[in-house]
Amino acid sequence: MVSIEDKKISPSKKIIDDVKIQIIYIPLKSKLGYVYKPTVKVGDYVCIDDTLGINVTTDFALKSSVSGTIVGIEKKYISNGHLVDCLVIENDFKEKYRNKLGKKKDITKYSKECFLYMLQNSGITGMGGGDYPTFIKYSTNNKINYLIVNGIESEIYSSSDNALMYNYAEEILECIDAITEIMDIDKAYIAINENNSVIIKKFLKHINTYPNIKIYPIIDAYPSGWERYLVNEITNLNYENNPSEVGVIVNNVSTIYSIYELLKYNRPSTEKIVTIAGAGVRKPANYKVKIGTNFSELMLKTDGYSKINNPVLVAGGAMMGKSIPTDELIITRDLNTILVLEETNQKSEKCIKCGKCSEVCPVGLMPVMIIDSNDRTKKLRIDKCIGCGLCSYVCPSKIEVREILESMKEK
Amino acid sequence: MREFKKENKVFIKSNNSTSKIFNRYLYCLIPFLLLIVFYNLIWGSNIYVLNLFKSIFISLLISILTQYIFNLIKKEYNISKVFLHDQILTISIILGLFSINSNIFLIIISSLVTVIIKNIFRDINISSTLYGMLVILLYSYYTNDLNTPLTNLKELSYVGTYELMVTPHGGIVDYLFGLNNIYLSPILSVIAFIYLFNKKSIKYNIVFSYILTFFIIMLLFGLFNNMNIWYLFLQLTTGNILFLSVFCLTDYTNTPTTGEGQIIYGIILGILTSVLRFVVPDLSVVISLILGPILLTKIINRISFKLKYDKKYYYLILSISIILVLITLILLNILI
Repeated sequence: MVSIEDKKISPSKKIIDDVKIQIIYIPLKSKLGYVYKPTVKVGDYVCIDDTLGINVTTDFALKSSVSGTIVGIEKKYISNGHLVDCLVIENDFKEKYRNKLGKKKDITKYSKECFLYMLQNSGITGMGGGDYPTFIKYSTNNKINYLIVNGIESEIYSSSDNALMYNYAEEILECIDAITEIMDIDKAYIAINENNSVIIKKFLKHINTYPNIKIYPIIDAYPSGWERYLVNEITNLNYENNPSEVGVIVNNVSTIYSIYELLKYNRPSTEKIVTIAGAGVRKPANYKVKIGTNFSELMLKTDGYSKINNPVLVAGGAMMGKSIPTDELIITRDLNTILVLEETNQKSEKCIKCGKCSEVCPVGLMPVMIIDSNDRTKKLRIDKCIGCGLCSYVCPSKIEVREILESMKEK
Repeated sequence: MREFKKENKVFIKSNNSTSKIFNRYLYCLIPFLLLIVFYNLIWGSNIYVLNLFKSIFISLLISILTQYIFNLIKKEYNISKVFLHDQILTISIILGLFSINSNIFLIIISSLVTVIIKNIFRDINISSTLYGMLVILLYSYYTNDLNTPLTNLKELSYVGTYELMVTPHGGIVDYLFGLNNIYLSPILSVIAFIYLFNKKSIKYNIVFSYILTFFIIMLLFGLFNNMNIWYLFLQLTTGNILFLSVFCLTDYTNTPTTGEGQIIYGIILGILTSVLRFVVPDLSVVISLILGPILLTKIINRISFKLKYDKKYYYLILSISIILVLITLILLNILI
């Protein structure tokens, strides 16, 4: 873990939520590669929460976040830097629902089967950046003992989850309580950075009514929000592939909020809080926008870009984000941060074998040895690399260690 | 639509850089120079100060010229690179400190050897000075020019009284502050270590394990031979063990990269120095530190990978270390 300087927007700063976006793009391929077969065609009118496509392998639905007319299919960039086909919806701003149900008073009154069905049918995926269908996490035969709600934002600029927790602490707690009740989970922990006292106070104000939910302060370092680290830190358990093996489910706080809206209003959230920051943005802030918003349109309707030399557009955080060649980038469920940074051309030097990359690697890899030994990469566990970028960050020779490892991994 | 530069990398970097790390080593050498200059100007001899500047100047001149010739061969014509990236200043000062009373010819030879070794074996950086030191020390041995407490040990069967071993060269305080003009100040070496440790610019695990191993062996050896605590201090403050462990033992490029590997490396070199101390007293550290990278680094890097993932290896390494320390002690007590 390494402490990295903080450039986050204060969670108490107002979320900008009044930007009206005319054209919405719903990608037909997710970050993880799930392909959706369209169930609508050009010219169809769709309402909010209407199914736009189905992933055949998982029977998982793709939902509309606005009401309007399908006007075509276009290629746009998504958070992983890939150009994918997107359904284009012209928003009529009527916010129409096909079957609008009333607000549910007690959201704990769902059966487990009903909850799982709702998750599968709602198209909720991991909103912390994972993009993994949430219903798969909950469809486990193992007894779940712990629910860990990940409220850690270790990336330097990201603050969307902080803003969400600050503004919706009560709703998040209510939803966690409901999930523990429905899924018969013994205990729930909300992991928050220990220095995030404003948010901890927000939760503490309401937490007394929920005896099963505990706040778990986590060291303010990078990458303390890493799932494997959180599970080990909180429960002292280790797992091979996914946390449900040891009776743990980890959900990002924004996924929990999305589930809250699903349980409360019988529809998943259609909006998303995203941090837009960096030296190249005139008004860095947390924006609440419709899922499927085109970043270029958002910038046109807000204060836009400021002048910097060699601007780079980054989808995701400064450490793990991907560089995007144009601002035709779609804000999907998994995208929390968009940065416009000034590219600093630091020349890399010869490796001095200081071993700092090995020292900081959260997985315990030895990047300097991996790079030196082309033929033994598998033995040196290159496949375990999580791409956190700490090796590149600490390298005094300014070598892009992560990129080298990733190219070796692909080979 | 606006276009951006596509660049796949980590977009923020730490403030640390190789030149900053290397410069910190250079800053750490300045107090050594100041101590020698001020102490000798006030209480010592002015000639010693002049000799210091003479040896640093000559080694600097020869090192820069030799390095620049190597750079020209590599078609690097910028002379500032010699100062900024090749650590020639650090190397020259260390060499200068070690050759204060040597003749000009010896200083030139040692500087040449250092820079040539540095450029031939590209994995050697500051520790290339060890080869230059080896030349100076071997010549001193050959000409019987070396008269230090540890060489006295040779005639004293390695154990002796305080009056015989320490008093001729000053008291323990002189040893600690390096005021006897024989060894470089151990106290300043410790301060330099703390500074580099604080700035995260040193492979501290190596120094810790090396000094600790040497300390334990010497402590036990002293106890077995009914020596007092001064004996331990004498061993730690002579032979430039602290200075060399901070500046040369931790040379980045040719030492193990993982923390676990660095500990093993330090332990093995600690044992090696302890043994050599009774064979070639003043050369013990220099020879150990030259042998270390040649024999150990690659193997240890491989072993340390296993250590990272299998905790049972920790116990195995710990047990082997204890056994090695005991064997060393038994050997020393039988031989001496």
